[in-house]
This record gives sequence, C-alpha cells and structure tokens, in this order.
Amino acid sequence: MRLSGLITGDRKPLVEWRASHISDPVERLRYLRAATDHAPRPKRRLLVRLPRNWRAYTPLILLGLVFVPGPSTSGSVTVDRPLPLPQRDAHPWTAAVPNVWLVEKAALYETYSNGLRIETQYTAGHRPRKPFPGYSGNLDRPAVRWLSEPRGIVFHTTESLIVPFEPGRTREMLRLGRGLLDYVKSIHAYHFLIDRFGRVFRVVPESDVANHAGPSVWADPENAYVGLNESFLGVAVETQTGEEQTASSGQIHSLRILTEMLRAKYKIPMGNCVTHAQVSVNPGFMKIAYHTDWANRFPYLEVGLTDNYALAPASVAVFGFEYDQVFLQVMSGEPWKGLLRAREQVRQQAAAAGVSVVRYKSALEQRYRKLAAALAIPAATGEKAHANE
Amino acid sequence: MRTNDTALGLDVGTSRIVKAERSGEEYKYSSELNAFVTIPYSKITAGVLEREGIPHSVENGEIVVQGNESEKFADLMNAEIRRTMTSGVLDAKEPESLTQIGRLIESLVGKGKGAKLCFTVPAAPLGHEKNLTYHEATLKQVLGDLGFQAKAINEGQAVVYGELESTNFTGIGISCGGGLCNVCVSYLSVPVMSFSVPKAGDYIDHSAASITGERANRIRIEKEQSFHFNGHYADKVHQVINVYYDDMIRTLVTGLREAFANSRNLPKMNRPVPVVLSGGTALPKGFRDRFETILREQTFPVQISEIRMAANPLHSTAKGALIAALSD
Repeated sequence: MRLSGLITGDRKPLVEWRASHISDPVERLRYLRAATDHAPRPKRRLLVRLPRNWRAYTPLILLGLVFVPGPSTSGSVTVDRPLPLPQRDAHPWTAAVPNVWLVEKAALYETYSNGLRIETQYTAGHRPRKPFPGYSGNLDRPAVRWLSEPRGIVFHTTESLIVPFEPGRTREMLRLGRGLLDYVKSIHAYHFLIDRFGRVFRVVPESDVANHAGPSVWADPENAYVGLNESFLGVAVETQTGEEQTASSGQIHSLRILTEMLRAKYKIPMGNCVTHAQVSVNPGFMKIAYHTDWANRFPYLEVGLTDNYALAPASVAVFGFEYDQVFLQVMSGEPWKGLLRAREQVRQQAAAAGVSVVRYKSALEQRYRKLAAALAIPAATGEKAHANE
Repeated sequence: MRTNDTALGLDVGTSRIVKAERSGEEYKYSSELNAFVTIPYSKITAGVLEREGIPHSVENGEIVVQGNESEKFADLMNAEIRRTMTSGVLDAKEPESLTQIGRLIESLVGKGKGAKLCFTVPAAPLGHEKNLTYHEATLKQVLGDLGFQAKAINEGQAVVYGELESTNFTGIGISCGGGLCNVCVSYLSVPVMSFSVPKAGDYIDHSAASITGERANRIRIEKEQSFHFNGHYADKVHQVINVYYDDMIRTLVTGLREAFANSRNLPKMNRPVPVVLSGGTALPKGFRDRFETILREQTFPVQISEIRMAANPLHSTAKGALIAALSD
C-alpha cells in the first residue's frame, strides 16, 4: 500500500482541477502520477509559472507586494477602528425582497406561488439551528447580536460525477442523482440539492444546520458572520465548476425560483447570496477560497441577483485573509472584481488608522482568530470526513 | 500531446490473454484463449494449421495447438484443453505452462524491439500473503526475452486506468475473471488498496459441475452463452449457476467491506466514488444489478456514486495496462 504520495490539503483541489481539464487519458494519468509522486524532485513549474494573461494580474501583483508581511510583527496589535462592513446604500443591500408564498404542502412536496416545487422525500432532520452571533461595532471590541433566522445563502456545486446531459444518458443521470441524494442526506451536506433536471430536493430543513460551509466568513452592512453553517443556508447544484457553464437551463431556472422563495421567506438581501468559493477560507494559512466551487461562472444575473462577484469578500476586507497562486490558477484569469476592491479597502482603512497595512492586517487576523476560537472553528483545514467541511 | 503508440498493454488472465494497442486515438484489441491442447502429429494437420495461421508448435512428435483454436480441437479430438494458469497465476502443476504461455504471448505480441509493455498481475488474496513473485518475474522474463521493456500492473488498477478517467482515476475497479476477482481502490491514480478473491468463473463452473454432473466446460459455455440474472431459470444448470454466482458476489462484497474495515491508512474520499465492473465473469445480463443489490444490503464504508459495467468488459483491463504503458 502506497500512501506517501497522496495529495492532501491545499494542493488537492488544484491537482484534481488541472487533471480534469486534460482530455487525453494517457496525458491525464501521466500528470496525476507526477503530481502524486512523493520522491524529491525539482520545483514544479506550476508554482512559479505565471498565468498566460499575467498582465491582467499586474494590479493584484503590485498590491500583493505592498501587502507582503514583514519579517516580524508584534504578537498583539490593537487598532481601534470600526469593523469595515459594506455600505448600506449599494443595490445588493437595498433591492426589494420578492413576494413568494407557500401554495400547497403535501406529504412529499411543497409548491410555491412562483412555480417552485420542492421534493421532500429526502429530507432528514439534523441539529436544530442555535442562536448565532453577528458582529458589528469596533474591530477590537465588536458588538455581538444573537440571531436565529438564516441570513443568507451559500451556493455550492456537488463536484460529483457528471455524465453528458443527453437523452440517452437519462437513466444514468437518474441513478447518479439518487446516489448523490442518499449521500448528501447521510452527511447533512446541504439544505437543498438541485439535480441535473432542475428538480429541487430539500435535504435538511431550514430550521436545522447543514454541514455545508466549513470555515467561512461573510459580511453585510449590519453584521459580519463567522462560520456560515449556522447562519447561511446551503444550496447545491449537481454539477462541477469548470471552464464553461455546466449548469443546465433547468437548474438555473430552479436556482432562480428557489432563491426567490428563500429570500422572500427569510428577508435575505441579494448581497448575502454568494458562492462557497467567495466565503470559504483556510484559517491555517489565512488564505481565501479553500473550497473553489462556483469560484467563477455562477450565473448571478440569470438567477435574478446582482453580480455578487463584484462585492468585496469579507474574508479579505474584514478579516485580513489573502489569496494565493492556487486561487489565481483556479480563476483562469478572471479574479473577482470585488477582490481588488477589498484590498483597496484594507489599504484605506490602514491609512485611516495611521498604521501600516501589515500591522492593520495583523489586527484583522487576530480579530478573526479570537472570534473563531470563541466559536471553536478549527485553525487548519485538511481532509475532513464530510464533503464540505 | 505526447504519445508513444508503440507501447502495448497485456491482460494476462487465467482464461484469456488480451492485447491492447493504440493507433492514433483508436484502441485495438486482440486476444487468445490462455489454453492449449495436444493432438497427434500429421503432416496434413500441421500444414492446415500453418496455412490458417493458427498458433501451434510441434513438440516431441505431437502438435500443440495454442489459443482460441485449442477449444475446437479439444472438442474434435474429445480431449480436455489444458491451461497455463490457475487461480490467476502460472499453474505449478502444469509442466508445459511456462513454454506454452511463452508461445501464446509471442503469437499475440510478436517481438518487442525495446517497446514498452505493461502486463497485468493479480493482487494477493484477501488475508493471505500469497507469493506472486514467481508469476510476475516469469512473465517479465518471457516478455524481456521477446524484447519488451515489461512492467507489471495490478489487474484491478488496470481496470481503474481503463475506465475511470472521468473521476481522475479515483474509484474502485473490479475485474471478475476466470481464476480470481481482482479489486483495486484507487485515489487520484494511486492504488491505495488491492486484493483478490479466489472465487471467480472457474469456481462457478467447477462447483456447478459437481452438483449437476455436467462437465465444467459445458457449464462455462452455458454460463457465457445463455445465462442471465432474471430470477426465472429454465433448467437446473441455470439455477445452480445462479446460486454460485450469488456466492461469488457475496464473497466479493464481504471482502470489500472487510478490506475497508481493516485498512487504517485509506485516504478519506471526500466525495462518493464509482465502482466499475469488468471481466468475462461479469458479462451475464443483470450482473451489475445483482452486484448493486447485494452491495446495498448493508451500509458500505465508502459512499458509492454509481456501480457500472465497464464500457467493454473483456478489454478494459488490457486498455488500462496500455494506458499505464503509454504514460510511463
């Protein structure tokens, strides 16, 4: 048994992603064998190679140089500034909430006024949602509000086995879908799953917690949230994140009407409907996008939302996380517009506080670590028993 | 894209030897029955065999017919075919095994001239430390003498390479052959667990033969040509074959379950993994459904995304060996 060469942790998603884009089986196997070879070898080109359109990253790279931490910082940094939450007047926070209501509730399904039908035969209760904290106020002395209703939606891809969407593969797709539903039900992975045909299944009741987000952060104009399993609902689409849009039109339609219903039911602002990649973090290395599902190509506009890739990710703007080369590779040359904005916000906040960016980011990091410790969020992400944690 | 189309894949099974080669994007296969029969020498017969290109040799005043035609000659001469292998490895009790498998392999692959070749070897039976060194080393020597750069690959792993490209070679490959069922759990192309189960096609044939009083060869022909898992069996032979198939599948599933339970170092699969079934013994209609029913009777330690038949169950192992050879 050879285990030494297995890929774990941060490299695994990238290796899998790269391998899945190699069409020739021989080349793919060659790549994977090289990637899993544990023997000492020269530095990988992958780590030093710039993306083809590297010029597009120039502003990020230059900002990165500004943000490189110094050789030593003091153990504790105090910066008494307000938590840099998003501004209230932007459209994602002010847009009207849709009006959708429950029409019929039967033993195995529910229907809603916007045409949404939710299948409930795979629903299984999990742990009821406990009151969770929303943070506001000052960086060093945040005010805590205890909340109980879901505050947002995290969109996931199942990254499960996908066969071509063709009439001849219908039985296979149905079989795969059933297997997937059994699996996500057994680990309480999401609140909702949308299968290949756009059918919406409730897997975990909204009143309960699903294991969907892992270490994660987000913020709206009222609060910052740490650990979104408690505070956000998880909606998964049976598809994979890829270079092209892989969600079917049926799935996108269902995403739209399910999002409408959830926004109506819980008064969720558009800006709190975001993808797993946007909220997922790796606390061990203070890096963003530990999970990369829907890192790009989430059809925000088709789902009836604003383009939330343009929002400054709270991981960077509020808690001082950083991106890395792996993230840039996964983004295939299209980093979120909001990322640059978040880094600019950090620079401005540091200037306003009269401290260096390094010192200010240390303060943000310490704030995150204290909040995460209070919520018992693990410092390191690694292989976990469940898909998304 | 870097390709080396001169490489070969060779599935050396108890029942058949299958060669895979690639020409451009196309895979090509040829196979021979891994068996031989001895018939009395006559000039006419030798001439006919020569003309028809049937693999044979003249030894000690007899004609030895190897491969696919051996079965027909055995029928004609009312003789038993002889096999070079048993239970997945070279048969130590067959004095001609080494010579005949050498001839069979040469008739399939010819001379190597330094080409790469991957050949399949079985995994050790579950719970036993079966010594497979002799088998592997002998085949390597035979292939080396033919001029190949030969390398062994686990049979279950070859199934994974041949069939599970879509999951980055992560999943469970199962080859149900004549002598053994070989299983390999692979994670991103790395074999993390492999074992074999000594119940396979031959076990079904011999067990059913002993119950029904038929010859094992007749059972095999019935099994391959008309048996299917539909719950209604027209005759006793089919009924008995069904019983032993069930026994084989249950042993295989139990073995899988135990192997997972006893293995401490398996990586955590962060998503359901597929199971792919291949090999001649998996061919009867309904085999996949029966396997799935038995597998899902109890909870399985790993989440399974799907259980499917290989696209070409008789060739997938050889294809996987070829992909391994090409990627070296």
